[in-house]
Amino acid sequence: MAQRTYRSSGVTRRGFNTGLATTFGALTLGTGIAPAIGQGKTDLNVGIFGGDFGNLSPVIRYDIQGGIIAYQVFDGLVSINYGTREIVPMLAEAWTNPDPLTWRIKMREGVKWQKGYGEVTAEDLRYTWQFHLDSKSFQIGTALFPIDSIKTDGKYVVEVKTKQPFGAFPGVTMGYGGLVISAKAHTEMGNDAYSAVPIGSGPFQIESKRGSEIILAKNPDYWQPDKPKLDKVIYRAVPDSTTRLQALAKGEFDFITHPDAQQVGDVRKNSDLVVSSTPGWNWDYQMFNLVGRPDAPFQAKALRQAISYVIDREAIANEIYYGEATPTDNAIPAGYMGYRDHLLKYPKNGDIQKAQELIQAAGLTGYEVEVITSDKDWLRRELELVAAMVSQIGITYKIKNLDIGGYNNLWLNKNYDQALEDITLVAPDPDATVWWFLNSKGSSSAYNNPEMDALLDGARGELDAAKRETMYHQIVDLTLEECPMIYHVNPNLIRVYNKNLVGFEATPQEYVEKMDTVSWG
Amino acid sequence: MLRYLFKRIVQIPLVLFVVSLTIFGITRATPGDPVQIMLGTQTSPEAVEAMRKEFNLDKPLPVQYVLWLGKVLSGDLGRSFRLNRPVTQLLAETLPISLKLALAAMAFALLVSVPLGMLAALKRNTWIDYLCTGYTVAGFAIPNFALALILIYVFSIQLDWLPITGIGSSQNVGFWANFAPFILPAVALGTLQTAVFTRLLRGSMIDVLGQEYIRVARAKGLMPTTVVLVHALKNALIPFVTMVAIQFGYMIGIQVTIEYIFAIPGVGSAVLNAVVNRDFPVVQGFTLVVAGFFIMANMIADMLYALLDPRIRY
Repeated sequence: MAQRTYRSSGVTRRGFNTGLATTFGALTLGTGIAPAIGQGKTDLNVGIFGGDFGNLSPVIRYDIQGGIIAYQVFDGLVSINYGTREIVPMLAEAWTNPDPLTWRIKMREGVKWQKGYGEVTAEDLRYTWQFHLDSKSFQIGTALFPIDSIKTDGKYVVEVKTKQPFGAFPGVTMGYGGLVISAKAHTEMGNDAYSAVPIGSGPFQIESKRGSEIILAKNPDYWQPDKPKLDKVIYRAVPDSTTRLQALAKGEFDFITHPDAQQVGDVRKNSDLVVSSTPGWNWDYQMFNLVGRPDAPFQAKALRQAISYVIDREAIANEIYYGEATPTDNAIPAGYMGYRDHLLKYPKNGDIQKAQELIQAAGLTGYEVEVITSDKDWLRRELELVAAMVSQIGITYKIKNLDIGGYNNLWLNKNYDQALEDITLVAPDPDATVWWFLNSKGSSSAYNNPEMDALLDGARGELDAAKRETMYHQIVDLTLEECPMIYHVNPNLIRVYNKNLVGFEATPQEYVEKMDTVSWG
Repeated sequence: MLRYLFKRIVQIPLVLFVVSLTIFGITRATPGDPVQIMLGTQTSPEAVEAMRKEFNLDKPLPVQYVLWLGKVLSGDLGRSFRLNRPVTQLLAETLPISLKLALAAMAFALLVSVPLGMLAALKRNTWIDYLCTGYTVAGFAIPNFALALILIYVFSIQLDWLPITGIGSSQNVGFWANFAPFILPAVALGTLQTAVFTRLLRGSMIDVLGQEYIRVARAKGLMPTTVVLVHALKNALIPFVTMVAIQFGYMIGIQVTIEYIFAIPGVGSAVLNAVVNRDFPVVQGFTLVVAGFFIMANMIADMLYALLDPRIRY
């Protein structure tokens, strides 16, 4: 089938701005203005997206920008080998589960806290998790919810009892919940002061923090030999993607994140810059409110399947993300347990005939529905494109753009019909990608299917990795059949940097990208 | 004058009270729960409840308002939900940057508009006047974000004279390193004001130059420069000064686009982030302070009025 082209109409001020930016971007970014040569440099200027960093400390929920800093300052209990999909030791040297409800974590010996706060011990881990539980922090819901009790066994061992068997313990609890704080520093400084300038055990420590700039300095006591290679990393939050790119081309930055995908083609022509564009652990998806709208036409499975069939995912990847995205029809991205392929059932260019057959066979007709999305520019454009696609089978999407506060207000309170949104995955386990969205008890779910609940709860409680993997295949297959959510693409994570930089290791999860391996060649 | 000043000062708390009530009402009427935004989608009801309690969001709205107002009266503007920092601390970081940028933009606007306005008035209906009019039309017409992009393209990318970012960076050492990042944003922000001021001063000067006392001054044989600068300009500046004061307050309020493009950590960016994240204390605290600036700017304008024109009495 030939690739279809969809056009949205109307010129907005934001569109005009983007157009201007793109024009000037194209005029400047492909030129040979050479960024500074890196010989002899030991510092790195990084421009990241957003207006500020938000919180940096693992005791308070952080935004992505704050998370990027937090993962330079803190080491996790574990990290991920993205090639082999394995959870590998970091501060936790080893872990076992002698019975389904017990996890014993052996901490690495000889790791020091920054700025003279002593050695990292089992007590620090116990203190961290107990603090989250006592303060009912955000981590209870995301990662620590299965924990029943925590105790230390000697200086380096922590024993955790869980309320239920939890197969995702290494990935979710130790992974996402595994940034350990210094009990001594946190107690002495107090939560607010510690949160403002946290003491970690990672490769870099905070030297200064001013406005939208954070300077990280090498941790002289870091436990991993020959790391970090840089003396300083200076992060600045720059909200406009064109400004970030232009400042990089001019040499004000050495490394930037999140350029506008539309400009990446021009950037690739600049031989002084390197573009790193890799599939990210995030999706764009459609969601149906199947719980709150019992009489809606989309309760008919055939209509939802027809919508999924009519979506030209490759067109979304090309027209919205300029090729910097991977079409997908399922909830488990590459690198996760349970991943089989990006496209398992629905063709990348869609199948209108199949969609129409499904509707006719079920004796249904199209319908009109309000679809909400947040005010991210690319989502608005994507929804316009998707509206054009579904119009081919008689379905009319009335688009409602909201800022993220307004969107969440409707979405989390299930006061909507259909939604289109994107999300970044925070924990390296399929439990995090599906349970919250598809289990009837999940806070983000608008779906109630006992068969799905049983599968999700079963996979969550299963400790055998091979069995869990099979269960996640079943969950994905059921999702593809039932279509409570329709997945479109996994957008790439894009960074651009000076060609003289070496050692950067891209990951599908930007939170955990450390700069400790980066140096000037 | 003193009586007038006293009356105006007495009115300030009342105006600020109305502002506080309005902004509190607007923030609470806006759909969106800050706790939901903060904690995200994968969270527990316990965490949501604990946070609501921590920030008094579980209390009735009048109680929330009274608690907040009580803190404000004791000099505490509250604590940011999202950043977990005192609002006063955020203000101390961002307001000086915004004030510096507004001052730089105002300096640029005055440096350009005063000579242009005078020139246009003195050379009325000549090609110089038409050129000035053309400039002011362009100044009104071009959006500041578009101008910012053009300035970046010409002066940063092509000529490599000026930096794009860097305001507020601790990496800037020396006067030029600290001053240079302000130039392009100040020009982008101040260009609209140059157009406003030039038109205003031109009209005002033309009025004044047609007055009888100017003809008398000329007839007395005073030097043309003295007539223009001492007798005409001083009187023409009266409506101009009011506009300058009002526009200065306005400049702090409209910086957000310029802050966005040049990555300036000022008041506009802080408020924008706060609005998006429903960070009520930041929105409320910043609005109150910016409203205070507007009030002060207007008061200063009124006082300058009297100083410039002895006929004006309060």
